[in-house]
Amino acid sequence: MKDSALSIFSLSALLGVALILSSCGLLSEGAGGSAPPEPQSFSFDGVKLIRPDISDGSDQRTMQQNSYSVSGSSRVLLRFEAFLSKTNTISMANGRKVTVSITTDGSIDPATVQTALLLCPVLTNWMMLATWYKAYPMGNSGTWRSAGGDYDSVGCIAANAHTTNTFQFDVTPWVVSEVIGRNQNLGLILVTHSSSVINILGDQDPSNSPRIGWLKAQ
Amino acid sequence: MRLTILLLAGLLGCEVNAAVVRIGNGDEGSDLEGFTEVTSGPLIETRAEALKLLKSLNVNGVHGLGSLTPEVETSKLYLTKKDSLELGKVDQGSFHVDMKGRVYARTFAEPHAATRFFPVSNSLDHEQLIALHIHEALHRSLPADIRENESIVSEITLAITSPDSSFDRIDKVVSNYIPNEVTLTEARAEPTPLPIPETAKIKKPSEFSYQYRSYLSPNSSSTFVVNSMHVLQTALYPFGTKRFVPGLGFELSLVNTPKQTFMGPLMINVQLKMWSLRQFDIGIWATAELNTLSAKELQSSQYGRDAYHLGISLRKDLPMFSIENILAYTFESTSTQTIGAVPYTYSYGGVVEVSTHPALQLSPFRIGGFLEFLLGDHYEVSGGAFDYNPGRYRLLSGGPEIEYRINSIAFVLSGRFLLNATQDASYDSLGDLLGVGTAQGNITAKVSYYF
Repeated sequence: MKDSALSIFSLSALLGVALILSSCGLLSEGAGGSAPPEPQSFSFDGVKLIRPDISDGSDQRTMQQNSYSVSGSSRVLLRFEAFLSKTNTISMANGRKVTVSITTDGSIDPATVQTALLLCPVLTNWMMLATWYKAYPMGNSGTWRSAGGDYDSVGCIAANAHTTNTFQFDVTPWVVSEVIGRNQNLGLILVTHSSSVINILGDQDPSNSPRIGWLKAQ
Repeated sequence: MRLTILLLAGLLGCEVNAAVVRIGNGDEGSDLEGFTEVTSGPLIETRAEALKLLKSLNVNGVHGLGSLTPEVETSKLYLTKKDSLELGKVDQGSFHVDMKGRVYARTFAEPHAATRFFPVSNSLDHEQLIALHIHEALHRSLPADIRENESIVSEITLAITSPDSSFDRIDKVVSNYIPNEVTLTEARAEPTPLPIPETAKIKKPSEFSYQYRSYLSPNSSSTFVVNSMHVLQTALYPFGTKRFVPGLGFELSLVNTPKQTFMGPLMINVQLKMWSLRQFDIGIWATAELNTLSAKELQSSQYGRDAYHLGISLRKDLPMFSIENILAYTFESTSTQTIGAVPYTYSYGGVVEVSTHPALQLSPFRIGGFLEFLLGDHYEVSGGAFDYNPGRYRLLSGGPEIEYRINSIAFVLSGRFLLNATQDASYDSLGDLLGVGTAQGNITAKVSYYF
């Protein structure tokens, strides 16, 4: 009887210690002796330039380029097409973020880019035949409600950090609410309200293409 | 039984001299003996036996004897109070009179007439009375042109009542006087083959043609802009008969787009043309629209699919008017197109097509038009995170068709316009470049040589 009471006490004590350590994050992923979370980074495969002067959605100038211009009359749609199938690998623990990396060609002062270049959630589904006026060419339902793409102007974000010419955008709120929360991936759009023309490196750039990244859940 | 056989033998012996007679006209007042209806007795019993015999031999199935059984069954029987002597030609034949010239029975040679038996018939035995019932009923049930011919009626009676009678024997005897062709005359009268008119399509089914299609300016929703198309078409029908010809044809096309010109799909079709007994041109076809000869650009587009069709057309040409109805079905299939780095799949559901082509025949012109209804199961575009599927859709098209034909050469000018469609639907939704084409429609000029 005495032994069994002792055993129960020992087990309870062990569980209590484990709970305390867990709440401090000491037993969670990357802590202690386990390996640190592995960073995941994917190039956007859906990269599409839209301009008012290009009405043919299959125009080769609008896709698979080394660079794209972002200006008042030129925007770039971005989408990681397989994102929905990867969301279970995203670690949100400890305030970890999902970020989008955009690299410019350096022709514009980084400080200007950081304030002028905005990344906005798209509100209408689109495909690679999108143009300035149409999200997709089938019928009339594919027409953007606003020429130049339908996006959430309130949800637009500026780069929160940069290293030289690579700018980091924290898209965690969009991922949580749209991609994970609503299970829909309508993508993002790069816009600027500045009069400057910002040249970003495109999806054909081998090492600095637009990317989305996060730390992989263990 | 022996008496019956002798009776029948006597009948055969006299049939050579038999002539057409009228039965029971009651001339000279000799039939005014008075009579009573028979409701029981040997006459009723023998009638029942006659019916049993007719049913056992399935006489109803013999051409020309279909109403014999009802005549035996329903005829009213009367027995006269006095015998009557033979009335010259009226009562010829051993079935009617005895050796002393007394008449056994008489009837009027028309359906549903009564049968009058005379007292002398009481001397006949069962078998003879059975034969007499059948004989009198034959006078009423046979075709009008032979029912009064005593020799024919007697021979058929013999065939039915002889001891070794059978269906085949009765049928053989009856067919000597009522051939099947005669009895089927009415039934066959309508479908008797008529000569095929020279204007019928089946007269010159083989075709070699060229057509030029100019596509209407596509609206902004068009995914594949085509300016024009040249189509070479040939169909040969080396086999078959005058009314039934199978053939094989194909179409080659050259597609002009704003960017370039390239080979379009290859269409191979197996066709069957027929000429119906009701003078309709009937066409049945199965078509494979293959992209194996297409340029890379066409393969990597929403039109880079193989399409398979089945259809039937019915056409009737009248002196001033002609009409052709078409029912066809296109099987579902898919095509893929990679745009940038994203592969897209175009899924085309099955499409039902019904159309009618009425026209006025004002030789050598044929001036008309067409109305076509296309019902597509679905048109879905998917790739990456994108999916577009508006569901079932309809397309209503129409346009003029004018043909000018001189002998074996025909010139056709036609137009195709989209009259009504489900929101978002256009000819693009069909993905059928060689069929209805793209965008909003086209104008076509065609010249054909038929042989």
